[in-house]
Amino acid sequence: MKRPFIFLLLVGMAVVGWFTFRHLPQPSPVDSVDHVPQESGITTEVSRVNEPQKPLVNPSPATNARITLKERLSKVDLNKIRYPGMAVAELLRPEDEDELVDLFHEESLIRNRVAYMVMMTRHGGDKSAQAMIDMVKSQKGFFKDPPNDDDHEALHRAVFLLGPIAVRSDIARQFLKEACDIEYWKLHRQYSVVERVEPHEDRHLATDALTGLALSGLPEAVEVINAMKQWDRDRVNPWAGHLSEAAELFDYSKEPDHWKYLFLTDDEKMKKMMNWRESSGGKEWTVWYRKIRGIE
Amino acid sequence: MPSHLPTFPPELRRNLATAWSLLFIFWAAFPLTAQVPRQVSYWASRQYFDRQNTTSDPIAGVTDVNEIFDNNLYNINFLPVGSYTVTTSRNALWNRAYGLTLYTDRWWWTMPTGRMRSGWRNGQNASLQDPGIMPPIDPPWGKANTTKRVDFLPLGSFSISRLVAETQVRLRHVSVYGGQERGIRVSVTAVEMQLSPTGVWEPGSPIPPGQISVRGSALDENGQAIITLPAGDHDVTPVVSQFYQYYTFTFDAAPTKDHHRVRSYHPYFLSMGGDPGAPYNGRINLFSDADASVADNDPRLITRGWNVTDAVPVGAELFIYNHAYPVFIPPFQSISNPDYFDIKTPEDLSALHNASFSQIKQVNSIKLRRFNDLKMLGYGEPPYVTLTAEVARNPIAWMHEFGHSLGLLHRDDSVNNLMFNAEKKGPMYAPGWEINRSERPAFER
Repeated sequence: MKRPFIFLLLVGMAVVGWFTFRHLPQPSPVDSVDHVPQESGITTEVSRVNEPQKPLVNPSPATNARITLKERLSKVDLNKIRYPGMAVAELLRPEDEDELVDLFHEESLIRNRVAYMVMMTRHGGDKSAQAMIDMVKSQKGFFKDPPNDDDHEALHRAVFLLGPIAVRSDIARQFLKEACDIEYWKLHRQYSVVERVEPHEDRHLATDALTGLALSGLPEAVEVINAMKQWDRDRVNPWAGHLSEAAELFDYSKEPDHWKYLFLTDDEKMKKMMNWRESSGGKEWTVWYRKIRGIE
Repeated sequence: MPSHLPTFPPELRRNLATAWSLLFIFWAAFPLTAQVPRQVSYWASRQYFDRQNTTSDPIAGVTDVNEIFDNNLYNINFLPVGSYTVTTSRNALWNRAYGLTLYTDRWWWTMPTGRMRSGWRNGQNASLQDPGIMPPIDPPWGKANTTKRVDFLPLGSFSISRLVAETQVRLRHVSVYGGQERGIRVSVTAVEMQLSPTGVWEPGSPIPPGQISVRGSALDENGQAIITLPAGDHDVTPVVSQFYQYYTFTFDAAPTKDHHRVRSYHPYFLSMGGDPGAPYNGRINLFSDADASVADNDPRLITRGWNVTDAVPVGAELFIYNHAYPVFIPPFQSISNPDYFDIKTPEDLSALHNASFSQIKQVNSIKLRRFNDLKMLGYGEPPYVTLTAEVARNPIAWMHEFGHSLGLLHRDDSVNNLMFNAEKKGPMYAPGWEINRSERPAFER
């Protein structure tokens, strides 16, 4: 007889305990201000005013993250076929990557993905890298007039823009290391271009990978640049301009906050370019370039 | 000296030396003259002296107009303000004898001083009077000289005798470009003249430049306007709003700046249909700014302050010539090794851009992966310009990049600016031509 009684007693205690403690007030960052000890004659409203460190609406990034990236972008000037500015860069959060990849895939034209690809360079990792690499590698068809075809140009930029992502993504890093070699593209490129450009298209893609890798600042970039610089003149000649550019971009990668580079205005980029050309490193590369090209 | 060459007697050798010296001097001097392809000079070519009386004096109520100095180039023998005298008419007889004699046919005059128009005076023929020392010709030149209130009727009625001297300014444009119109900047200042109660002309306030025009071009707030004229002589008399009846003015003129640039293009264009071309047969001017050019009868002329804008007329033109060898020289003829037709790297762009064989290079495209737009339409950096085929016939693109080649930067305070950076709207040039004072010297140097 004792066992059922003890069982019922325990059950009863459990029920009473649950009923007693279930309504205890939980601490909340939003309404905690209401529980600030009130001093005589001071209302809660005034306390809020006097405590800006405890606002009712928390302006922290966590709160902004509740607003979708698409909604945030709708409030800024965004042109999908060009690089966005610093105002857009400041909106981006690491947790935006999934949505960014979705926005990227929503666009059917490659040109309309340019702004999203640049945004991916801010915080993007493997997901962003994979989306861009898939786009490049799966591209088929024929570009009949590359100089006037924005989709063709955007495709090349995708390879270049993988560079800054490679600092966070091994997928991008591995891809760019392989894609710096023209042989990679001979095997993997599926699209074709007009006859005038076709013989050079693989090289152009390889140079985009090289300059992208240089912008990442990864040590592999220097290894590739130094190795190619040792090639004989005829072999390195078509690559000379890109090697010089890669050296320049690699120098930028050493600067603090160098992720900002792609979000600068063209005037700011031009100014940096001029300054680099006046630097000792820049002058050396110009001398080397002119020597390779045979320019007096 | 080798023996098989002909020899000359000493005197002939001296002549030859002289001839060679003259040839050398001519050869050396020719470029100097060529460097001054345009010059302007100006003078007061004609003046009207006009005396009008009211109808209360039917005898004197006629208008006497004489044109002097007409076609008498460079003879600007006009009286500076205040150098003449006015004598009160004593009576109708005196007035007929002297007062109506408003001028002497050949000479500068002081009116009416009592000189007789004809007959003998002090034993001399009045029509052959010595004009004496000519007054200096320095501006200001006047339009309205004097008005005199004269009481000459015994009943106390009076008439107003108004004497007006109008100056017409002519300008001679010496130009090696003949009938081609070229720019000339004119500068005018004018001051309103008012008759004081004591009968003395006194200067009033300066006349706003917006109320003055020259050949239909209103002056900017700086008192200047750009006009275009072919070689030859032209009437450039300033026109002042009717609001101001009497005034004196100063005038100045100088040729605007002519920039000459040679262009060449990548030879591959010849495989794609030929020369990419240049705008307006290779001629672009900057003095067509809408804010600074209105017709004489434009109603805005009588509204003070209508022309409040930062834009100023710029006296500069760009003349584009084809290079004697119109396509790029090696190694810039390359299309693959590297590609100077479709440029892809800053180093390639810089190498071509800074090559001295031509001042303006035309390529098919410029696409630098780092820059924000998928393509660049042009590139200007001192001292040269590189342009793509897409804007080969776009004058704004040429002048925008030309501005960069002269050292100007972007100026984004108005979409109407020539140097506006249309970056945020994609690869394009803003539609404006406006240039401000700080930019103007770059084009006019």
